[in-house]
Amino acid sequence: MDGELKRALSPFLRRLRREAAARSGVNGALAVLPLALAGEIVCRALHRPLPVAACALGAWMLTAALLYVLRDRPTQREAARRIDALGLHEAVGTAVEFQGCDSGMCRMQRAQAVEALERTDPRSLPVSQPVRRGAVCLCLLAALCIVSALPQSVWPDAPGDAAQSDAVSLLQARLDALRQTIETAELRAEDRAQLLAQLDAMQAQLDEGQLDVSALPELSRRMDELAGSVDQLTPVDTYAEALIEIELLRSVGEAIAAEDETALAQAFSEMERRLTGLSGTEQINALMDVVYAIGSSMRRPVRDARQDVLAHAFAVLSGELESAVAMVYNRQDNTRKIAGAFDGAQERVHDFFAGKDLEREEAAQEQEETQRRLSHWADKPGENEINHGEVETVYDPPAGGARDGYVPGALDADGQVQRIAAPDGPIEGEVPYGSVYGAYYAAYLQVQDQLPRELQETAAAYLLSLQ
Amino acid sequence: MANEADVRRFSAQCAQIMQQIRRDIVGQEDVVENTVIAMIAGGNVLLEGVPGIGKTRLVRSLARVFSLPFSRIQFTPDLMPADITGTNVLEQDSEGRRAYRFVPGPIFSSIVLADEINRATPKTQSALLEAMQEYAVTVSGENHRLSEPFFVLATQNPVEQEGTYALPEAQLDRFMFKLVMKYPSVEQMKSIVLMTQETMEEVAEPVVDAEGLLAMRATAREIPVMDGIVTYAMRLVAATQPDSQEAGDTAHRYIRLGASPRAGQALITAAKVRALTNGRLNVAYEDIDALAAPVLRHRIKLSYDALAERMTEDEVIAQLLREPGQRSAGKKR
Repeated sequence: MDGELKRALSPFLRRLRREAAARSGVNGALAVLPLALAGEIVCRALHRPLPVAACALGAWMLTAALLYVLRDRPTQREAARRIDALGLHEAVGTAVEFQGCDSGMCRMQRAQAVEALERTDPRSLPVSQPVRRGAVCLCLLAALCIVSALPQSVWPDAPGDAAQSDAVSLLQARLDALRQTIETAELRAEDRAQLLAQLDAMQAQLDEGQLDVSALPELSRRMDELAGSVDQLTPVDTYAEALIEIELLRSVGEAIAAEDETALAQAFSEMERRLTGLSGTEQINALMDVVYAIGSSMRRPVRDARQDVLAHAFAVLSGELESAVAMVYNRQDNTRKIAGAFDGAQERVHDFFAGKDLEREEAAQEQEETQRRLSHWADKPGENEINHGEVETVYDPPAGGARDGYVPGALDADGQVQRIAAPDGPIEGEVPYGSVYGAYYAAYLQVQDQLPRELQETAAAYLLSLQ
Repeated sequence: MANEADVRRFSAQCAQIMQQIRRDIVGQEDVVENTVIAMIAGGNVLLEGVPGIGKTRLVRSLARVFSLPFSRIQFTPDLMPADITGTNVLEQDSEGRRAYRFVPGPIFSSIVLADEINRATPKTQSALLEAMQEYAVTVSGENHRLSEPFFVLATQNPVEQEGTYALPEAQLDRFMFKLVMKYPSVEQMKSIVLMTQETMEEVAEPVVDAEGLLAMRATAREIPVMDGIVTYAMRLVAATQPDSQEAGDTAHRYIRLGASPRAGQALITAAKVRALTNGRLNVAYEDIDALAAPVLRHRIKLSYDALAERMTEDEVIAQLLREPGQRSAGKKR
């Protein structure tokens, strides 16, 4: 196009392009918004939320651009026609049509057209604004925003969601009951907090409302596990109750609860007969089942601190059964070992029934023996040298003021965690291994499941060596 | 190829032509303007008006302004074709030898005033056909060219219809315009009387000669016309033809015979001149609208429905211009 003519036309073209862009935008919105609104309603009703707004925005921009390029963009001829309607007597249209003509008359005509354009104010070119259509667009947009903002609960359940809704309601009821249980159960504060945190996570999942039907059984299973954990962390009155909860040790626990030594002997005998009747891998698995069962029973908190004697007795039993496992690997006959383990446990239980604090008696006896040896050694240097490999410098709570029956971390009669104040210096004493082995072993059993496998083996080997 | 000087000269000459003619003709601005347009465009004009309205005076004034030879033919029922074209005369020289010599008739002029053309017989009227179309006459088999520019300005009296012969369509189609001269107003009549009291002769001064007129015609011919305007003009002509696809209700009801393609040629040619006389270097839709009646009114034949409703050609043409279909192609209002 002739440069002068192009320059003279440009302000008019800009005005027309703005009008066309507005028209394209509104028409694009009119094409997209009804579909977006319908789509949003359908998705909400089916409980399948999709990014309808984002898609609508992209579709609107694409549609508007296509409409502008393919239909609404003003051509030179169209612009010339509208400009000529301002009283220019088709001068601009003729100039545009003959822009390629180089004759003298055409050049003069173009110059006349340019002159006419320069005399005309571009703002006098009437442009139409799609007011009514724009208002319709705004109404549709408002409707879309309202529908998008409505909470999901407003929408009725889709036919396929009724069953899911019932299942969710049931799970919610279970969650509420479980929360009640956790809040009222006799738990340590940290245990309660941990359980409630797990419960809150499940509640959050339910509240999102986006669970698939396939996720509900998994959530139910997790609730079952949580309920089991609550039971596990709720203290029992006696160690026998902890035993009774484990199927493998139920008969033993019932005998202890009834203080029936005859029944206990029968239960132990039955276990011994079953274990010694197996061999190889079967025996190993059976022995380890008993070991794990004893370990699980020892994790259950017991209100009565005096019950730790029983726990210790079963800890020793577990340790000896583990030794029997090692004998299987070493191809040794472990029948007597197993028999001795159960006899020893029977004896310890008997002593418990008899009211003896076997561990403290043994510890006191050991300490007395140690003191005697030390005194002897002090009196007679060089003689009866104490084999320091038989004793260990240990953390000795009684030396720090712990009362009788003190077990670090256990609950006392008031349900409080037992602990003592930190001393000014180390609380140390020398205690024979035999006095602490049981406690060591019991502590290992409590945490062995939380240890990595290789550490479990290392700890078991260490304890075996101490024994 | 026209240049700026040609355009400026054209504008100046047009203004002077109008100014000079107004010295002899009072009022009748449209008729004067369209007659000048027709002359510049190279078309012939049929003037219709009651006697004494200035038809002959207009033609004589134009002849003076354009410095063109002028001849007048008074058409009567006994006028013969040879009276128009000329004839061969047998002459004897001093030695007694005899030979035919062609004596040219009054048609051999630049401006021919065919007064009351509808009083002559069709045979006589047809003598003008060849001259108007081909700028030549044939007498005794011999073709005689007419000089350019050549114009026929015919007049006819709408009152005395007895003893007249309506011009055939073929001849009517060769007139670019049919212009109707109306009665002047009181003020105009007053001016006429005062002017003619001084002198009855025309006083217009020459403005342009034959060569100048041809140059003006060439300049006007170069005016560009938008395709949309050409389409608009052709659709308008087609709309007068009842059998055409462009014909609307008006044509179907009021027109028996429509205009020929020559009407489209006349529209565009005259529109170019009109645009240039108005100082524009391009044809506009308003040019077509303004020339529609002069071009079409003598080319269409009204139907009995139109006659029964006392519709005139001008009213039918005005209705055609208002039809919506006319506006769709090439022009949008």
